[in-house]
Amino acid sequence: MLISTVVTGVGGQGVVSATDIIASVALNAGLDVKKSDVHGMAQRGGAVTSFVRYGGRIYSPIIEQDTADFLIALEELEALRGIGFVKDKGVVILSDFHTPPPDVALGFKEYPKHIQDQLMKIKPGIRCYKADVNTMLKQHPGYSINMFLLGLYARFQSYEEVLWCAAIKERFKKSEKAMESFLYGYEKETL
Amino acid sequence: MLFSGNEAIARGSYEAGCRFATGYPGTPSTEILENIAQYKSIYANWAVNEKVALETASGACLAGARSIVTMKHVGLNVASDPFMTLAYTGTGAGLVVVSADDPGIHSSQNEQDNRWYALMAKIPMLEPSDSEEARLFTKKAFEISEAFDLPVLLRVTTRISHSKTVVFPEEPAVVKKAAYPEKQINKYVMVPANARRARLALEDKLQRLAEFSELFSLNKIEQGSTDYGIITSGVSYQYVKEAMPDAHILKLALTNPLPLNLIKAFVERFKKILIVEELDPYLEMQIRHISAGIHGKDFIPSIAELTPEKVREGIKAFAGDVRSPVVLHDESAVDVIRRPPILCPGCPHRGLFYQLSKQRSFIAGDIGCYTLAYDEPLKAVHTCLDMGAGIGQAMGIETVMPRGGKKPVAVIGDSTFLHSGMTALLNVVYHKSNILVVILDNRTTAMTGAQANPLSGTDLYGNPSPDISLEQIVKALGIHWVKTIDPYKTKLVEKTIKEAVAFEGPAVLITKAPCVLLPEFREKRQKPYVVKTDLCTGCTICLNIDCPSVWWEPRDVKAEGRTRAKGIAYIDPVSCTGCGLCADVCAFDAIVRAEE
Repeated sequence: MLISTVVTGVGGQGVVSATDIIASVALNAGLDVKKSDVHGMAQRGGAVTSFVRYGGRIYSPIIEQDTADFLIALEELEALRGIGFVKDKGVVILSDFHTPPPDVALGFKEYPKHIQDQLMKIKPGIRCYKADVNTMLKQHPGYSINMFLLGLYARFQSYEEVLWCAAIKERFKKSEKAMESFLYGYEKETL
Repeated sequence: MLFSGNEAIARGSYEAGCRFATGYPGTPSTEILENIAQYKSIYANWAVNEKVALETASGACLAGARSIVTMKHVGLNVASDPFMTLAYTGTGAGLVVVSADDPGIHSSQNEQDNRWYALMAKIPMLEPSDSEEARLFTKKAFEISEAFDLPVLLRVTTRISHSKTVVFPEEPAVVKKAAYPEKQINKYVMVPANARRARLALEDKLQRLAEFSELFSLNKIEQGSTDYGIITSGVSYQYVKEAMPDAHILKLALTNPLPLNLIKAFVERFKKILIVEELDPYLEMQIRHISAGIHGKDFIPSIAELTPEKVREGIKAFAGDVRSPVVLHDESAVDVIRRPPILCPGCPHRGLFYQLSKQRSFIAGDIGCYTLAYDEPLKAVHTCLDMGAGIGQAMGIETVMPRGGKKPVAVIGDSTFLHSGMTALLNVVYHKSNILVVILDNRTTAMTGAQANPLSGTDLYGNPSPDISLEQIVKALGIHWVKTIDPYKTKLVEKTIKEAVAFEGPAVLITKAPCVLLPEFREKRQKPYVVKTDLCTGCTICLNIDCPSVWWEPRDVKAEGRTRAKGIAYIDPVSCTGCGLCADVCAFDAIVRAEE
């Protein structure tokens, strides 16, 4: 078994902490893990992509095109940047949250429409689940998008809930909201 | 445990009994020193630049303390002067120089391959391929350094530094303490007579190192079942294993000097050999002469990062003897709207660049966040070459430009100015060059994630450091026209730039306000601004300040009875820091502070 997951989003959304938690859970489950992201200028609101792979023995820390089992997109448009990595029958967990990139904010271009359809057109075999992030944020201000989508992702994995909760507690020692956001995705949201 | 390569190098230094660590921040190397700071047995500090860092570490080694110096690839250009001659003098205690290269140019100005530095300086080099090796090779590097009395180059890349892989930490070694140095004049004073002797001694060391390299246990052969062999090192090894797990592999850990006999013996076993290495044909140029069957860059790209698929395609073509040119991958499957990094909401640099862009001067830039002002809509940075380059470039333009041209401007951050700008400014004063230098003093090294510098008032540990006055430094260099202003005061910024440009002679304008990443900024953060939709005419002037919080919102103009524009401005209340620049530039008083 070898699972490759790509997380995409915008600097500041917690892309890197999402893969950190996935990596930590897999490691505690006794698997070999590698994860890779490029930080550099991520804090300035640029696009961020992070890779995490786990299984018996992992070599490459980066994921090849058309091979990822999962794509988690914390921002809707960023799913388009990550879809090339996803394998034929991969799973996409898609946020409906939008942050306009500069060309959209300046009015030069329009924010792309029907992103889910575009994803299905590029990779017809995928299963795409759209997470209702905007509703969650309205009902629960302060909840985090990355942990909510991680909760949805966790439902596709075979680890016990305690492993996830331990990793989240370890990472966000002070924040109750991180755990609540995770559980909202893990238990409440309908897929 | 899961460690990044940088965390693993920090751990390896601790385990090796390293006592002193220094360097200058630079992606992807920065986190090494930040992590070393957690180990109480090592004293760490940020140096003003890489050259000073390496020289300081050399002193610590003279006094018997194992030391490590960290930098990004281009940092070694700055430190190359001491680096070249340290091979002649030797180091005393173990000295490890970490060069974190950036193939693919994720966060740099070039993708130079620093393995050549090891060859050129005649310094041993180790290349780890994951975090566990980064830890282990760091320890080995200290051992080799002391065994041969030479600095050792530990060469990593972004994918090693910023990937997390499993590490098995060990206990630290007990090493001897630092002592007041003995004077060994013939060894450490590189006057020609001593340097000539040292050069001969270095040749002898290289000979012994070459023999050591042949038997070095971390150079490994992995038996496979292919009819060809692969020679590789660093992260490329992981891509080879991913692409072709059954290949015969010679994995090199020590890549200077190369174990030529080991390589020959490996090469002779196969009809053909493929060298898989990222960037330049460094291994290939040294070993291709061994046999006609050796291939490398004819199948593996020499530009950008390698990936498992590039390596797989290269190996396939090589194994099938297809001589097709290797195609560079377009990484994205679809054409996606770009999302580049931009100056943060509330960034103190924004207003300055907005006003500068109205001057129509040539603006020589430098290395830092502020380089981001090069792009639409500001387009207020017109060069970016290397640390401190902008001041020299502006001076060069002024020296030869026709009379009556706009006064050239150089913009440089506080950390970059202290790193490499001071000497250039002295040259400006010396030759009476009529340029304006703007020092963007945000009290930190922002681009790499807010590391302390001499103007921050704190050191690497957050302890207070002496007050250093930027204005006094500038005056001491001979600048008479110098003003320090608050960059959030839009009218003052505009007026002062005009004054500085009008002044005949070198002028320095310092804009002083904390970076938004710093805790001090939180005190400045105020209630967000909102757009009064009835007053906004959609003129887009507020979009020209390039703030990520100000968006264009298309509207149905006919329904709203407007005639002039197809939309209005919108301010994102979550990210807006309330700096007020958008309100300052609005000509229609349509932007106001939000009420409770």
